[in-house]
Order: sequence, then C-alpha cells, then structure tokens
Amino acid sequence: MIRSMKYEVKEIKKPFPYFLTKSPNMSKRRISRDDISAYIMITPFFIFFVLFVIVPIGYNFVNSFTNYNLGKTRDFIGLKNYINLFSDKNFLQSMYNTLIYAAFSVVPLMVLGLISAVALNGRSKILHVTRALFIFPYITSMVAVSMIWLYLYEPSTGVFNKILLGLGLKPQNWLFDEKLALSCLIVMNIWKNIGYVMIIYLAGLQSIPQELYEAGKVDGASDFKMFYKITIPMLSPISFFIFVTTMIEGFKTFEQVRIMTGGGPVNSTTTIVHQIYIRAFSEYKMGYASAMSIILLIIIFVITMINLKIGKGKE
Amino acid sequence: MKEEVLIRGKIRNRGKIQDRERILNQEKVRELKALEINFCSINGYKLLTGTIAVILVVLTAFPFLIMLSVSLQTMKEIYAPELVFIPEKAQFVNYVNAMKNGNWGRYMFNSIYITTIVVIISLFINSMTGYVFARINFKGKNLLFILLLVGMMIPPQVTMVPLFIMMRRFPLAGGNNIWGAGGTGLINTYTGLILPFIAGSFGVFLCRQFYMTFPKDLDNSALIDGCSRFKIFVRIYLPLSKPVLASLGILKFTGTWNEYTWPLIMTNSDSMKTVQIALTMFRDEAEVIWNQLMAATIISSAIIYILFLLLQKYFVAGILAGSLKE
Amino acid sequence: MKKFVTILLICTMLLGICASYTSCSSSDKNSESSDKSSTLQEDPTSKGEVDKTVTLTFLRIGNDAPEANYWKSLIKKFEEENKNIKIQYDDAAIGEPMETKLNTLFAGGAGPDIIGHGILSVANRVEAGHYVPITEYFNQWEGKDDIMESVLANGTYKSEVYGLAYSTTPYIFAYRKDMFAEAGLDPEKPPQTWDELREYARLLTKKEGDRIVRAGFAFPMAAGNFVEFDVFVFGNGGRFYDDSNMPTINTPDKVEVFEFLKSFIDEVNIPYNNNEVNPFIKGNAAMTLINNVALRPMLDDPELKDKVGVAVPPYNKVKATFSGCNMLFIGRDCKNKDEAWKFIEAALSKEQVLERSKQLNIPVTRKSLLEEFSKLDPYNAVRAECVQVGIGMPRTVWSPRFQTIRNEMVQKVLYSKMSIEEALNEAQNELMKEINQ
Repeated sequence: MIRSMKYEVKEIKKPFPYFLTKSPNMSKRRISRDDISAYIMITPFFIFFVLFVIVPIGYNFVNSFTNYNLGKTRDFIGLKNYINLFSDKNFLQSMYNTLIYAAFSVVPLMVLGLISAVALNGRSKILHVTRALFIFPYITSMVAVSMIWLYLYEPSTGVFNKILLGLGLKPQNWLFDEKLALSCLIVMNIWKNIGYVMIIYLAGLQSIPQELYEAGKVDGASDFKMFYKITIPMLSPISFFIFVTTMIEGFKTFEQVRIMTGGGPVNSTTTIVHQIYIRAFSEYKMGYASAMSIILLIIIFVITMINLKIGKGKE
Repeated sequence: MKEEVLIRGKIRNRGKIQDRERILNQEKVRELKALEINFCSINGYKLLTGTIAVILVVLTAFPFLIMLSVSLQTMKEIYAPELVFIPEKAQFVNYVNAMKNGNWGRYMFNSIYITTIVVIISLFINSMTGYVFARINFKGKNLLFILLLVGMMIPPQVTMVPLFIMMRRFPLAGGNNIWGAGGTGLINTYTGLILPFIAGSFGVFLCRQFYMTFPKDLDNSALIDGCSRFKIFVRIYLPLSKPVLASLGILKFTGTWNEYTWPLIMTNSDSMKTVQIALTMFRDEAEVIWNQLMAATIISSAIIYILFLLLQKYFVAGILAGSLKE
Repeated sequence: MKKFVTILLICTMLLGICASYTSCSSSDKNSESSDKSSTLQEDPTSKGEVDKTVTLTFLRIGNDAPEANYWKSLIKKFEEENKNIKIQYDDAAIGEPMETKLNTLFAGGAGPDIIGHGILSVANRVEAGHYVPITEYFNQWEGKDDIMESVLANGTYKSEVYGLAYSTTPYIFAYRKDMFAEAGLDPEKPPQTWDELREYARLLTKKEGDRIVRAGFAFPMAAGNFVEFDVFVFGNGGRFYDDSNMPTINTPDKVEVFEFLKSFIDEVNIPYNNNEVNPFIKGNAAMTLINNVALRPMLDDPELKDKVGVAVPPYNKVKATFSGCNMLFIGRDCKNKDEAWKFIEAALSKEQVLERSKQLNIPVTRKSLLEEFSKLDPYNAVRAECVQVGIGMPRTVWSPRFQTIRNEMVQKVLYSKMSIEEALNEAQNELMKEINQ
C-alpha cells in the first residue's frame, strides 16, 4: 500500500527540477520561436532591472577598486581595499557575527514558519484571526519593532527580567551582555520574520494537489508520514526560495543593529552591512565599503550555489 | 500566414481552456468540502502543529499588546520606574496628537500612492518574467537567472549613491536636457521614488519558484494546440496564481511601505515625505515621544493590515485541484 | 481577483488625479512642492534678471517637531522680509539618516545650499569640498566679536571659518534632589570632585538582591558616541589630540579616567544605550551626565521640575565638559551664496538666538545675551557655564574614525575585554594606521 504512494510521489517529483536545468544541446541549438517570446516577455522587467539594479552594482564594483570618498577623490588603487579588508579586525568579527546571525535565523525560521503554515492552513474564522495576528510583526516597520524589543530587553524594568525574577532566576543584561546580545537580535529577527515565511509557505501549500493526500489516506498513511512524504518534497522549490531570501536578509541585517546595539558591546553584534554603513557614511570611505559589499556578495553567492548543487544531488 | 494559424489556434483553444477552468472549479468545490471535514477530525498531528501555532501566536501577540498599551499611556506612565501594562485611563488623544504632528494626510497619501503603483506594476511584470523562467528553456536562461539572484545580494547601502546620481541625471526629467544635465532630474518626484522598487528581482524569483510547482502538463497541451506563450501565461497561469499574487502583493506592499532610506534621500520637501520618514519625527536626541510614536505606527501598519484581511481568502484558495488526473 | 485588480487600478488612477490636483493647489498657495521645481527649472535662465526669486535649499540635522516648527516660523518671517528669496526647508534625523542623506546628495552633485550640521562633519567635509569657507562674510558680520570663542572655534578649520553655531548642546550633570535628601545628602550640594561622585553614587544606589533597581550614577554601556567618557577626560585635563592635530590617546590622563570609572561603575550603574532614554529620565537613576535638551521632558513636568538639579560635571583637574554644537554651513553646490549668507545672518541675529533659547532651551551663543539668558531660567547659568567650558569633538580628518575607535575602546575596557593600557595602545595604533594610510 505504502509502496504505491511512494511511486506516486516520485512521479510527481519529476517535473520539478528546482536546480538550474540545462538540456544537452541547448548551447548549440538555434534561437526558436519559444526563445523569442521568452525574450519579449522578460523585456519589461529587465529594462528596470538592468537600469536600476545591475548598473548601480557595476558602478559599485568599479568603486571597490578606488579610494572614492564621496567627494573629489576617486583614484584607482587596485586591490588595496581587498587586501586591507583581511587585516581589518572589525570586518572579520563582523563576518563571523553575520554568519552566526544568518545560520541561526534561517533554520528556525524555516521550521517554525512551515509548521505554522501547515497549522494555519484552512478556512475557518479562528484561522483567519490567528493568521492576521501572526503577520503583525512582519508588516510593522523595523524601527517600531526594534523599539518594542528595546523595551522588553531593558535591564532594570524590562519585561524579560521581570519574568526571570518571577521564575526565581538571575536577571540578565541582555543587549548589554556581549555573550547574549547577538542571540537577542536573532530571537527578535525570528519573531519578526516568521510571518513572512508563513505567508509564502501558505501560498505554496495551495498548489499541492489534494489527490496526493487522498491517495495517501487511502493507503493508510499517517498525517506525519504524509507531511514528510508529500508536503515537504512538494514544497521544495518554495523552501529553496525561502532559504535564499531569508539567508540574504540575514546577511544584509543592519537596521536592528543600528537601532538596538550600534554593533556593541565590544563589536559583538556588528554585522557586515553595519560595517559597510559605518565605513561608507560615517567615515566617507565608499571605496572600502564597496569592497566589503563585494565580499558579502561572494559569500552569499557561494552559499546559494552550494544549495543549488545539493538540491541537484538529491534528485 | 503565421498570424492566421495563431488566431485559429486561439479560437480552438478558448473552448478548451474554458472547459478546463470549469472542471477545475468543480473540483475545487469538492476539495474544499473535503478539507472542512478534515479540519474537524482531531488527531495527534493536528494537535501538535496546533499547539505550536498557539504558542507562537501568543508570543507574536504579546509585543503587539505592549505596543497598543504604550500608545494609550501618558508619557509619565511610560517613564515610570515600574512597567505599566494597563494605562490608568486610555489616552486616545495620543492618536489625535500624533496625527497633528506634521501633515499626516499628505504623508499617508504619498505612501499609498507610491506603494499601490509599485505593487500593481510589479505584480504583472514579475509574474510574467517568473513564468518565463519557470517554463521556457530559452537561451541564456541560467545566466540571467543568476543575474537575478545577484541583484538581491548587494546591500542597498552601496548602490544608493549610484542610483541617486542616475536619478538626478535622468534625461529629459525635471529640467534635464537629453544628456541629463541642467536640472534636478527625478529628485523629489513620485517617479523617482517608484522606479527602483519596481526593479527588484525578489518577485520574479518568488513567482518562478511557484510556477515550478505547477504541473508541466498545463503548458504542453496548450502548446500543442498552438497557443502562444503569452496567452498561456494570461489564460492559464494568471487565473491559477491567486495565492502567489496575494502573497507577493502583501510582501511587496510591506517592503515598499516600510522603506525608509530611499524616500529619505530622494525627497526634499515636506509634501513629498512618506509615512516612514514622518515616523522618525517622534524621536530626537532629547526624547522619544513613545506614545505618539506607537500610535502613529499602529495607524500606518493598519493600512497593510486591511490589505491583508482583504486578500486573506486567496491565501487558502486551493488552486490545482484535479489538474493532475489529465 | 479580476474585480480586485480593477478596483485597485481605478483607485490608483483616482489617486493620481488627486496628486496632480493637490500639487497644483499647493503651488497656488505658494507651498513647497511643485512651485520649487518650477523655480529650479528656471534657474539657469533666471540669472540675468534681478527680480527673479532665488530658491535655497536648507537641510538641518534632527527632525523633531519642536525645532522643525521653530525653523519653519523663522523661514516664514525671513521670506516675508526678503521677497526674492525662498527657503526650501528639509531635515533628517540625527545620526545615520542625516549622514546618509547628505553624503548621497553631495555625491550626486545636488548638495543643499545651506546645511545645519555638527562639529564632527567639519574637517572631513571641508577636505571633501562639501563646505565652502564663509570667512569673508564673517569678517563683515555685526556679530563677529560677540560670538563666544569656544563656540566659534568649533566651526573654524585651518584658520578659515566654515560654520557658525546656531545651537550648542552641552552635557550637564543632572541629579535628583529628592533622592539626595532621602540618602542624607545636601540637595543643594552636588558632587564636585570625582571622589565625591563615587561616594555619592554608592550611597544613592538601591538594590533588590543582586539587581540594581536605582542607579546611583547612570553611565552608558553602549553608545553612538561615547561623549560621557570625554567629559571625564576633559575634566582630568586631557585631550584627544595635540597641537599638530595628531591623536594622543594612550596618555596617563585616560588611564586615570578608566581606573576611576572601573573602580565603581559596575556597582552603581543600570546600563543603557545613550541613543535611547537615559534611566535618569525614567526616575531610575539619581545622577547622570546628560545632554542639556534631553532633560527637557523632566523639566517640563511640574511635579519633577523642583526635584531635578543641574550642575557643571564633577571634575578632577579642570572644570570642563563636552559640548556639542550644530552650525550653519554653505554647501558646495550653492549658486547664490549672498542670499544664503543673508539667511544665516538672520538665523544668528540676537533676536533669534534668544528666541531659540526660549523655545527650545538652547543656551545662547552670543556673549552680549548671557545676562539676559541667565535671567530666563534658574538653570540657565549652569547651562551657559557648561557651554563656556565645553569642548567638542576633534576637528580633524580622522575624527569620524576616532569616534568609532573611541567607542570600541571604552567598551573594551568597561566590559573588561582588555586591560586599560592595551586598549589605549590599540586605539592609538589604529588611529595612526588610519592617518598613515
């Protein structure tokens, strides 16, 4: 019985190669009618994209080889910025912090987001209300959210310390403790973005054909089994999307650091973008900051590509 | 010649597509009924996911309640040495005062206007581009897709300056000549605020991933019938895209609405300011007017909230029921 | 869905019509938006004609409503008196937003004509060519000899005047008289020396078990700019740079400051971030160093007003404090410097200086107003004294880097990550490396 279900799942998986596909004779074949319609359909988007995203990135790439100071100076200095980067203690610390931040944000976000999407998938009134509550942190601006959490983390009157005291535990200094500060930011990030993950998974769940579950039921599979055998594989393109976007957001974390800790205590929460920001706009070293952003781009790019490869391997 | 064939194909197809849609709809109704029954039966799986969800909801709701409470307190209660949860007397006047602090009607209008245009345009071009990337194996696809991803990987802090220069040098806008010199370009205009938001590749990526979960059969039969790609997209994919478009709409709306830095540098007059810039007016080095700040934040988030409530039903509308049997 | 999209489309179109309508009507009312763009468009052609209106853009640091309202009213008055000048007012929040905006505007060649900004910006922006010297205008100004020397020095760089102060923000020592009385201290005698400060702080601290519920002396443990540390350095006769503008971080006076702070801070402090609300404002601290304007909410409260005392910060060797300063500059991209100067002159007139101190509690910057200012408010004498003994951020090209490095150094010591000497040496080396680059 179970075997038949497995078979079905396998068959459905086939048409979804979520890695980059390349048909063997692709590079040799001529441009077909299909290609032309494809190009026409992507043109409107790519006009905007190239003009307002790619061109500035190119400009930024050029800047990374100069000592541009947002003023008169903009001389070509070769790889000097990149060489300096690797002896910059603050930058190395920020790389470490960012990696920790991203790694510990992405996994809980995906797990909790998926669970809540599954739990909240339905049409009853209660679910409508719950979903609405769930989405609240995501739609509120980071500035407001950071302020609420500053309020919660406050060492003398903050809510968290009140709770700890109530439980008979030792109150903490939270954001003023260099061992805890980064975790505090991670917790807040998870809290804020869980609604985002939930929304996307929820939309993803809608495109899973109900027949699969029915077939599973007929075969006597438990809900857990179906979750594992149907829901997760069917959502894999969506999971890839969520992984990439939450990871990128994690790597680009800046605003909450700026508002809540300013990178402290003792640089324990400074992130790459926070360093970029300080260098570019407080210290007028746009060239140096551009080099940092290129390093950031390379890190994210490599992680994304590894993920693509793993996905390919699984298939 | 070609057109004739195309048109004939279209005519033949219309009947088929409508047929398919009707079948889809019937199936959908059946599925929904089945789902509702499912929901009533409680078992371990549902209990577990339900419990986790309830815990998460409590955790998410708690800071919101604090925000609500703060927005109704007096400054004295906020600065009290001990935390106040329930204000002695709800200060609804905070909401009134917050809205009097600056020209809020104008800020709201600006934000709504910019965001609506961004969302509408990007919903269409993003889903179309996403469809192409998901379904057509055109030359250069992989390269362009990687480019799309790269577009998301650079922090805005470093692209802001070149983007600003481009906006200022935009040819034939704001007094500029054809070479983009002489005037102020798109600075302090709605167009200048809107353009960079439309360009984001996030939506394309999202739509691509969603369309990949759709069965390929959807295209194949239509293609054999000689349907054009654009037609397939508009006639088959768009109607099935409600959940993804609803999510993308919310995400794009939220992102644009909450954007702070770009409007900050692009505007230079009070009449062009957006809600997010106005929100920082409650804060200076001397003090934070917490109660008004929270009141204003709640009002500004309320707009996204209303949109979410309007779109909610699309998030849970099953879309592909029955299509696999063909 | 289709219906929804249609409704949205219609709404947008309606909104668009509204937008064009409102901007039209606002230009009728002589308001900013479209009027401004049209004058700017005409700018190149209008140069020859005398009676054409000149539009100046003015970007100020800080966007709080009270000060924004003050500037708007000043601009209104100024425009009435000078019919040919229009001032387009704009502002950005202190810190990152202002820096981002100003840097981007200058990089894009669209810098504001008049800029209201702090000391930290002077050296770098002069070097980058963002500010232009106003020495010539200054030499002809009636208030030339009236402005306080310590204040004037803030806007001078390489013997040229670039900026003139419109507001000073000294750090003052604030304490709670009621808590002093409760602890058996004389409420009229705030601590004057470091030892007194330490002793009082210990007396005034309240604990519940291990937790400090009231700080005897509140000192920030995180900061955008650790000027509270500078107050102690200045009070110990120290400076951060020598006569040749080279950094002098690793000197004995800073070691003393750190040793002093480390000897008691942990026992008496509730940590806070000085970008956020000081625990003193919440009533959770008995003494603190605080930005003069930040005390405003407390002094405005009739119940607390009499319980708060202010003084010059306790010192070890020299009476001194940190004093921030916001100045008016003329930007590189300004095409009508005479008109811009006219506005600066109007903003720095005696009448307006006094008006600002009345409306915004800002100490006066002109000597001739000191007496009148002291009469306005019992605390004003202390404020004025703090301005006079006030020292600002270093005015050197490396000062932005100094800010980052100093913040880091203070945290490293306070969190016991490094020994005092190590931290000071490291900071000095980092700065030297920066200068040699």
